[in-house]
Amino acid sequence: MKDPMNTPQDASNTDALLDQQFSLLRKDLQELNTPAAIEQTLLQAFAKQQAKEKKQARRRRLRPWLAGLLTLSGSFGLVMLTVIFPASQHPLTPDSTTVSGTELPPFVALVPLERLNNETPSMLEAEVPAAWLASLGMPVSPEIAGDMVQAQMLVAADGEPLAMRLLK
Amino acid sequence: MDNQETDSSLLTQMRDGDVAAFQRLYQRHQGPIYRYALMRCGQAALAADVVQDVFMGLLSKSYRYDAGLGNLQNFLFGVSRNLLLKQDQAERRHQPLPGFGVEDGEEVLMSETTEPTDVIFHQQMTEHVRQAVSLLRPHYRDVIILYELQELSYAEIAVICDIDIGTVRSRLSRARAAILQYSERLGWRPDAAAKTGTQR
Repeated sequence: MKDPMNTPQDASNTDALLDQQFSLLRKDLQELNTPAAIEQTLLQAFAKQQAKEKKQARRRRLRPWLAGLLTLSGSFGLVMLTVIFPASQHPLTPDSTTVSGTELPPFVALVPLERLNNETPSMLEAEVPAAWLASLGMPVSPEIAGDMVQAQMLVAADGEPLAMRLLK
Repeated sequence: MDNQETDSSLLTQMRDGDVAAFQRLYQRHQGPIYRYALMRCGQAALAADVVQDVFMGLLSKSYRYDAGLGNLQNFLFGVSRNLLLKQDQAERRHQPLPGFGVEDGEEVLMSETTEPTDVIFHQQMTEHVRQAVSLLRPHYRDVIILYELQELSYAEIAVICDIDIGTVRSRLSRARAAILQYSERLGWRPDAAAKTGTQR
């Protein structure tokens, strides 16, 4: 609060009278207050803010529950999907690592791929000499060069072989 | 100190959603802030806006008030002053104040043709002094209002206005001299005012 020692050193009689004037002004000022409407505005703002904060707090409280619930329902859904649509209908047996009938080797193209794409080939399955396959560039073991092997061929409309795969 | 502790606890309660705590804080501080703003800007509507903005900031937790660095009221005076300075800057764009910010050789009073302020007091002499205060340049006005009317110490004013104590002292001295000079020039002699005051 105001310290009397702080009064300017050169305080004169006129200064004392000015002090009196300030004292009067101070007294009159005490009667002035902020219009009541401002308090009402602030109280409304306070209520609005509290409502907003409560909403945010509720959201914050619910967030872990919601996350847990979502994780749980997600996991349950995955389990149900696995039960309803199993990944493989074949039971896993020690033999399952061998090539099954459905797991055929890929075709080996005998002509450029552009041509293969332009053709509408038909598929043939036949027993052919292994040596003939070797002459077309197919990888054939020398041990079976004299044998007949079963092969699938994609052939063009004019009968030209376009691609081939060895079945046996 | 007791007041300061209470302010801190009221602030905590207010932040916990206690509307009564907010009302107590408001009732405690609105008067001094309003009176400071009113004397500073001379317009009742603008002073009310300042009070609203100050407390709105308190509500929205946008202030970084540290009770360890001073009491809440002085902090709120500082916030009000900053708001009023922004207002001054906006007005200066329209009406430049030559030499603003220069202490030595600067006119302490602004031009008397500046924007008229509201008539606040019906007592003529009180209104004369208020008008003389309103004509001081803003940085002199701050010091004289806070010292003479809010009865703060030099140290408190120095913190609020972000100046050193020596500057508070010199601004106060020059402001008082300017008010006396102005009053005498217009025939509002302080002795006459004092007589009027004692008659009341």
